[in-house]
Amino acid sequence: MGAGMFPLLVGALLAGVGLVILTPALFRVGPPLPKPDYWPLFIVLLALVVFALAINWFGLIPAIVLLTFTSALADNKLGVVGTIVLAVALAAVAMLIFRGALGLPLDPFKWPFS
Amino acid sequence: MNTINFFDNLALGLSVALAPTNLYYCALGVLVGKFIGVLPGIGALVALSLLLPITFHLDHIPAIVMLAGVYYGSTYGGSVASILLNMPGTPSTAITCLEGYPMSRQGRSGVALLMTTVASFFGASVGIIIMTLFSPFIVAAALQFGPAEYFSMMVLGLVAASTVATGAPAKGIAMVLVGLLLGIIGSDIETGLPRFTFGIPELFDGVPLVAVAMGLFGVAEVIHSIRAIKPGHVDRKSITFRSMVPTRDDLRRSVFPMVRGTALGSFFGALPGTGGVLASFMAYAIEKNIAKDPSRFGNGAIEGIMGPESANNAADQTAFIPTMTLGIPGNVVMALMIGALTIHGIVPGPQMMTKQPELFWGVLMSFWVGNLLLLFLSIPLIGIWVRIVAIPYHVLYPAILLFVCIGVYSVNNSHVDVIIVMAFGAMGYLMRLLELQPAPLILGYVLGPLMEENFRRAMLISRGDFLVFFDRPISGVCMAINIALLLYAVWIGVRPRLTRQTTDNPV
Repeated sequence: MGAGMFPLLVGALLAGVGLVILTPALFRVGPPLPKPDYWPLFIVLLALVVFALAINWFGLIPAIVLLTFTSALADNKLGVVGTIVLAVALAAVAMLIFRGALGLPLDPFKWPFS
Repeated sequence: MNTINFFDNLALGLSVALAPTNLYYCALGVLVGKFIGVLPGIGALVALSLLLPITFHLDHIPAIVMLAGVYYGSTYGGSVASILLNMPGTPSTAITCLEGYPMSRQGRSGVALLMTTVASFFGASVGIIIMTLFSPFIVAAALQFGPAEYFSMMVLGLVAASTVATGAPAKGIAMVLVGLLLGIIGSDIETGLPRFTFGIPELFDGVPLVAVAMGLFGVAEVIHSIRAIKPGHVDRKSITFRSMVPTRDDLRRSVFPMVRGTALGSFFGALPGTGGVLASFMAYAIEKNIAKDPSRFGNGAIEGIMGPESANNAADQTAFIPTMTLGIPGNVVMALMIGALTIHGIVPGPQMMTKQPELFWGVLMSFWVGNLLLLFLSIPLIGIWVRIVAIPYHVLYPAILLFVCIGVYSVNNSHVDVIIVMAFGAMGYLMRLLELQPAPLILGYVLGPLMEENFRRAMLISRGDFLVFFDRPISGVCMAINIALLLYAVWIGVRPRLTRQTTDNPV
């Protein structure tokens, strides 16, 4: 009963369930595979990466602005002015909640190259 | 357990629940829950995973009080979207659309909103009373349980959650197993050996629960909803305080559906794997079946909102019974709750009530506070909720993403965690496309380490004899139910193929 026993059991069970799902599927005509909605998928994931990099390099507020602008591209319903308003509002709310109410040590601005 | 002790405990709980900090986080929790419940397309799960990181910075009691408030608050809020927009705010209020929206079309949305709040409060109150009365007995019995019982009951929770809930049972079980494997990542508790870490130091402490929950529920939900959710239109002027007064006929028709719904909800809430969604659907079906004039259903029959709304709120409260007495979550929200407790170093289980009475009774009494707040906030603030329900999704989703990002980042001040969330978001969206449920995965992930610990202990005691799980009576009964559920799942899977072969032409 070492460290590997439980993972081995679970892994074996998972392989078994996989076979149970796979085998009948080979013998029937199913519906076509669903198509992912690539644009929102790509934009949302990109927005998260942009935020991760921006908060690491430039601080909270640039990260919020960049996240808002990137994610707004997923559906272009907001327009430039709307996005600016939303970004400013979100930055204000985030500063109030996370720095004000919760007192988290988040730098509003940073500069990595000094 | 004697009576004096019982009232002492209630008094202790009340003093904890009314302490300013706890009161504050209870109010915050129910407000956020109600708010998010009102917003269509964002349910309790997204709300909980959004608030999970904040609980890291709190004590364990306000943390649980707040998370619980978000949970039952969102069920109160969910009916607002169901009634006004015909779009369920949360899954367990989906059935309310059937009668709530027609009532709204007839200009009776005020009555529907008021009466669902009353039904919710009634259901929740009964649920809390049941929890108060029964929990001490369950704990007394559970203190005798050994590792074999725990392991079997956890397996029961997982099997029930993956086979009874929606979707294909085999896929549900597969997701549970994937969750168990995810939970194994990190160093082994007993030997310290790294498992599935591939030499990456960030993985030695395991994959953070916050990242998994936010990715699978928050981010995946946003990606899916961006093009799926259409803005709704609400006639704000029609909802005045005068329009909320129910007729004598409404009241007469409401009483018994409310009682029946509460009974159903209390029962299914406490069972593992079932819960508010199932209870609310059954409550509706029952009201429709026993109605003298079933043709009224679908055209705004008030019975059809009272039954389900009391059922889902009663279920919300009784769902805490297995979680708080045994430490075994019956649904995914409770799994997140257990996860939050473990983050604070509390081992969930029957010893919680004896060793940490202020946690158990404090959280329980906070349910009263939260439900009273919801009852009294829902009605006067109705104008605000009606306005919130009309917020378009394209304004909301950047805000949701932002809360996900800051929440995850703030736990360790690590931008790598945000990237992990992104990976789980992509995985969650893919799972959604392939109709793989994320809820069993989270359950498996949270229960994995606890299960392994009890499994190994049981094996040690029995010297490696697997029959230990079948020998002992309680463990044996759980295992028998597990086998029955699995056979049922197999039958569900095989039956359509058999009937197709006998009735239709082969494909």
